[in-house]
Amino acid sequence: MRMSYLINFTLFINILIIPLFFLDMILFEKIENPKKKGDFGSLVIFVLTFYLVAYLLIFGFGIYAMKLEYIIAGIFIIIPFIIGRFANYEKLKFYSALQLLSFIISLGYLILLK
Amino acid sequence: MSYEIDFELRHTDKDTDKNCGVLLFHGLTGSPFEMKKYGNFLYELGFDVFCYSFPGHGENLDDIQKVTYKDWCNFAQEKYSELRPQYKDFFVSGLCLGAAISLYLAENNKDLTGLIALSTTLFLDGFCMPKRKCLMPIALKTIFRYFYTFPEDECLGVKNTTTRKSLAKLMSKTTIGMDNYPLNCVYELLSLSKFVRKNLKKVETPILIIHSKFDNLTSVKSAKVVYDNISSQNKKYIELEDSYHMVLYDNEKQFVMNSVAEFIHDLVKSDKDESIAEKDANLENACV
Repeated sequence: MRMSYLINFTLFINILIIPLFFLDMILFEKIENPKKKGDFGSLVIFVLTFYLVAYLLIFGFGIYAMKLEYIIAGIFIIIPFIIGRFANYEKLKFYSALQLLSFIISLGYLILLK
Repeated sequence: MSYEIDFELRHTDKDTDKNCGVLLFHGLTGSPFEMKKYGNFLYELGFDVFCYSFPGHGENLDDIQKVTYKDWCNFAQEKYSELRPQYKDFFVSGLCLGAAISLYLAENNKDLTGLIALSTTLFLDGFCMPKRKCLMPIALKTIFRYFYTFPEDECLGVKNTTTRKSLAKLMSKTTIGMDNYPLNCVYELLSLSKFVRKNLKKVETPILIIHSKFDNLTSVKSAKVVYDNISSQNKKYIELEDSYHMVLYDNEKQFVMNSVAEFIHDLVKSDKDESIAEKDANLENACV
């Protein structure tokens, strides 16, 4: 797989996850039906899985080709888990904003890589 | 924090010759309501029975997102420490999350007379788990666990269709239980499970484990892990054939309750036998 394809794919996923996560932040209290809530949550987590896999591939390529700029992109794999580790319900808005910011930064970094 | 659904069933001194208390714990997203019949059954046998809502479980459904498994453990320990000194014999029993909490108490309190674990939930690997469960590991470790819920399975953990229908009707009208599992409380349950599993060796209390072969939420693996890893000499495992997760409401409920009664009676009786034997020995010594 050519690197440019991977970067384009990651860009697409990154662009997709930002509005989805933003919607999640707004809607999670408003959706009453647990089934709908579960379905929407599944969709966002499904996209997040692709996001993580895409960055993992970029990171793997960086190691293989010994390219620092791609290795650095690996940081975006662990950020959601670090935020998840410290997040709590009382400060959910703050941590959600932080997560959203990290998605935006990763998008910016990808654009730079491109 | 207590709600009206909490119950304390105490005998007056004249009612019963037993000096035995039983502390019951309900399941995840449930309420003491689900232990009420079981509690009444034990009360009629002469035991004092107590059951309280776990922190986060009650009228406000948002509260459950704010608590951690440590709050549940501290709450249970607090209730135990308050009630234990009042009785000669004291048992704890729980369903699902309640069973895990009961194990936690047994790990930390050697003066517990006995433990009854019903549908112990240490792993979420039952046959009715939603297909999207495969996404759970990622969701659990990230902030997404606060946004994600999965609905309660249609069977509501009950195999008996008549009971299922009446339970569904009741749940739609009241707050006796939630119709979905916020992923954050699943995260807390699994964290508790990890914590409890680490210390299972410390459990020396006599134990009765009851688990259904067809539990929709958690397979028999949970019960077997407990059975294989505890240090108790007196341990008994019963596997049910015709129930799902809510063993206290399902087809074999009477069998479950009778088994529990038998287990408690045996322990209380053997306690009495021991004290009689001790008295006899003392008398003999005195005579000599």
